[in-house]
Amino acid sequence: MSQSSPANSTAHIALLHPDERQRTMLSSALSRTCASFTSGAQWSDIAKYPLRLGGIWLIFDEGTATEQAIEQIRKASEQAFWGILVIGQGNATTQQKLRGLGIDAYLPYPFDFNVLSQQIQSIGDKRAPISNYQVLPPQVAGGLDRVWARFDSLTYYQLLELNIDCSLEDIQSRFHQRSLMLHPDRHRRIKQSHPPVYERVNLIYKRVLEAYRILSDPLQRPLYDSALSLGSTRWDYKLEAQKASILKSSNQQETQLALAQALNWRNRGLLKPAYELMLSICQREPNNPDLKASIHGYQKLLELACREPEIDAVIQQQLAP
Amino acid sequence: MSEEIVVGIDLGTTNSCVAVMIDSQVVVIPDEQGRRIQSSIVSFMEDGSLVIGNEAQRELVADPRNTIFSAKRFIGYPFDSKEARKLRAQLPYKVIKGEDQNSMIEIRGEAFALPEISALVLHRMKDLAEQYLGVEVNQAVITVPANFNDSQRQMTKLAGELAGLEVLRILNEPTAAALAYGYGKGLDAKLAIYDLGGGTFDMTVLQASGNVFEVKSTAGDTYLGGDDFDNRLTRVILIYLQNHYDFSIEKQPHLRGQIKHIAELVKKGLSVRDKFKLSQQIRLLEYPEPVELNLVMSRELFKKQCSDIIDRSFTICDEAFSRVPFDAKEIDDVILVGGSTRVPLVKSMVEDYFGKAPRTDIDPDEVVAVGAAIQGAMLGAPFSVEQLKHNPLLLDVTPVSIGIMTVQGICEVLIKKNTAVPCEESKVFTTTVDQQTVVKIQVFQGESRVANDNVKLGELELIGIRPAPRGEVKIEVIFEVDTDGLVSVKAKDLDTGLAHETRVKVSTGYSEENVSQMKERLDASGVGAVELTK
Repeated sequence: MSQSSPANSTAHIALLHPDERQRTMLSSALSRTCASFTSGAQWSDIAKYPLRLGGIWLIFDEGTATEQAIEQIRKASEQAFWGILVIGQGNATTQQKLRGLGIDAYLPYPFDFNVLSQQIQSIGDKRAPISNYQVLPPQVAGGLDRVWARFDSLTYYQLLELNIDCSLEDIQSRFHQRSLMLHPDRHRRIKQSHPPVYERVNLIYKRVLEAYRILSDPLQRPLYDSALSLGSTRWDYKLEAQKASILKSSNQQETQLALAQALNWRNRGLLKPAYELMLSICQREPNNPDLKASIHGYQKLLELACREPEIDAVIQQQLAP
Repeated sequence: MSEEIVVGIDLGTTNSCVAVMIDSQVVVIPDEQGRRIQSSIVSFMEDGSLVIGNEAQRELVADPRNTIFSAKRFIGYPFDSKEARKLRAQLPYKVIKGEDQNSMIEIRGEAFALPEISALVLHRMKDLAEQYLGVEVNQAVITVPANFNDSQRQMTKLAGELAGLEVLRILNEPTAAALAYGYGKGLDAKLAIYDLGGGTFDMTVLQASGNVFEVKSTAGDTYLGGDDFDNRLTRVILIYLQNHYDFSIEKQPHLRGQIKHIAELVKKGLSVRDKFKLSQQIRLLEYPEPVELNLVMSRELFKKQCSDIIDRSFTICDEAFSRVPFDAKEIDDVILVGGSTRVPLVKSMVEDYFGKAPRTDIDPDEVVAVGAAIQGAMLGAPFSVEQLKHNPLLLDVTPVSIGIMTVQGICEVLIKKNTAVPCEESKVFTTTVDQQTVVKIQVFQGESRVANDNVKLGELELIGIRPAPRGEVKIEVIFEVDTDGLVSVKAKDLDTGLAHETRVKVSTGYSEENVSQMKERLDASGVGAVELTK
C-alpha cells in the first residue's frame, strides 16, 4: 500500500530563510519530519533542488524578495502541486497580495510548530499529485492531476474538454463519461484508505457537475458564455444577478432565452446581431417597458460602434500629409 | 479486493422486500413460505415475543393496540405537526411524544422510537437474506421515498444500523425502480417513474443513456398513497354501518382498524373484478350477536370516491415536468411502482396523462428492491477500470431545498431542490457585534420562503471565534449534500484557511445515549437469534 498522506513524513520541503543561524535551527527541526529537505538564503541557492519530486516551499517573508521567489517557483515548476507556505510578520495587505500570487497559506511569525505541521499536512493533502498515491489507475490519476494543476483557471468547457459551440447532446454525453470515472460511488473503497484522494476526486467531480448544471441550462449557458469573454471561469453572484434581472423583465420563457443570447452577443462584440435580436424581442412583447428601456442601451452601443470607423476616417484624413 | 455481499432492501410503508445480486442475476429473497413480499408490521406479543412480517397481519385484528403498521409514515414529522396529528387519529396504537418532538410508540407501557420499529422489520429482512444465502449479511442499500428529507433519511440509516447493517446507500425508490427496469438493456430513453405506495407518492423523470441513469427531476407528496383509498372506502363502509346500526365508534377503537382491513379487501377485490360483493360479520359492542355487513361495491363507486386522490398525483407530475425541457407526452417509457398502482383506475388515469400505456412487464412490488440490489452490487464491486466503465451508475438529485434563516425569518435557499448530488454551496458569515465569539446559524429544509414553515434540520454554532471588532472575522460555511441525500456542514476560517470548530445540533436526531439504549433493547429482544440453515 502506498502512503496515505505524502505530506509531513513523506513531504519534500524546501526552505528559504535569509538568516543563516535561524535557517540552521529550523532546518534541524523540520528535516526530521519530511522525506527530503533543502534550504538556502534565496531561491538561486536551491534552484537545483529536484523539482520533479513535488513538494512544499516554506518561505520566510522578507518583502519583495518573497514575491520574486514565488514568481520563480511558479515559473520553474509547471505542475501546481508545489505548495507554497509563507511565514512572516506581514500585515493584512501583504498577506492578501501574496495570496493573489497563489500561495497556499500565510503563517504569522512566531509560530507554533504543531500549526506548521498541520498546515504542511493540509497543503500536501490538497496539492500532492494523485499519481503519487498509486491507488487509481495511472491514466485516470494522470488526467486528474492535469485538471487539478489548472483547476481554478479552467473554464467549464475546458473542464469537459468541449468547444464553446458544442451541442447539448455533447455536453450530456461528456458529462456521463466523466461521471462514470469520477462519481463518488466509483471510489467508495478508497474513502477510508486514502481520504485525500477521495476528497480531491469528489471536489473535481463537484466542479464537473457545476459545469454540467450551468451549460445544460438554456438560460444560464449564454450568460456564462458572455462572462467568459470578460475573463470569468465560474458562475458567480454577478451572473446570478443578471439571471434574476432577466427572469424579472419577462415571464415568457422564449423572451428570457433571447435576452440571455442578446447579452452574450453584446459582450462578445457582436453588436449588430445582438441589436437585431433585441428588436425582435421587443416586437414580440411591445408593451413591456423593461424591454423598451434596455433596447436603448443596445442601440447606443451599436451607434457608437458604427461611428468608430467614421471617426477613424476623419482622424486619418487630418493626419494625412 | 473481493466482491462484497450487499443486499437491497425496499423498506416500504406497508410491505418490504429484500433482493440480492448473484452472478449478475437479481434474486428476490422469499420467506420460509416462499412469499417474496413481507408486511412491514411488527406485533409485540403478550409473552414478550415479537411477530414480524406477514404473520403479524392477523394481529392487526386480534391485537390492534400492540401491532404496529405504517410506522414509516410518522418518520420525520414532529409530534405536534398537523401531519402527525392527523395520522394519530387514524391509528389504533398509541403514539406519544418523546424527546425533541419525536413521535414514539407506546406498547405495553414501554416507549419505542420509530427507527426501532423499522429496525425490527429490517432485521427480519436481513435474517431472510442470511437464511437464504447461508452467509452473514452486513451491508445493505435501503430505499426511501424520493422526497424524504434529511432527518427522515438519517432515521432510516439509523434503523439499518440498529438492525446490524452497514448502510452503503440510502437510495430513492423511483431511482431504484428505473435502475431495475433499465439495467443491462442499453437504453437511450426518457423514463417516468410513477410511484404510488401505501403512504407516499413520487414522480421522477429520468434519462437513461447506456449504463448511466440520470435523474432529471423529482417531485412528490409524503401524504398521498393507497392508504388514502382505504380511508375513503373505510368511510363509505362506516357510513353504511351507521345507517343500519346504532353504535359508537369511540367506544370501540379496534373497529376502525377492522373496517380498514375490510376496505383493503374491497380495494384489492375491485382490482381484479368490476364489482365486489362484501359479506362479513362484524361484532359491535352494542349488539349481542355479530351484525351483517352486506354491500356491493363497484369500480364506478371507487372512481367517484377516489379519482380526486389520483388527480392530486398529476399536479405533482406537472411540477416535475416543469423543470425539464420536455413534457409528459415525450416520455418513452412509464414505469409503475408501488402496490397502489395495481388499482385499475390508477393505471387508466396514468395512461391518459402520459398518452401511453405504462409498462406492465415489471412487478411493482419487487422492482424497488431489485434496483436496490443492483446498486448494492455496484457499490460492493471490486475496484477496476472495467468496473468504472461498465457498471451502471445512478446520478441522483437533492429532493428538497436547503436554506438558512435570515432576517425576519426568511429562508434563504442555498442548495436548490433537484440539484445533482454530491453538491456543495458556501456562504461567508461574519460577526455582527464586537468581540463576538459564537455565531449561530439555523439550517432548514423545504420549499417555503418562511423558514419556520420548513423542516428545521438543525442549528450550527461556530464557536471559539477569535475576539475582534465586528465584521473582521470571516468564516466560510460549506453546506454539502452527499450521494445519500444527507446534509453535512463544514466551516473554514478564511484568515487561516483551516477548518473552524463547529457544533451541529440536529433537532430531530437522537443522542448517542439514546441510540445505545435502542441497540441494547434490540439485542435483548432476541430478534436475529436465527440459525443459519445452510
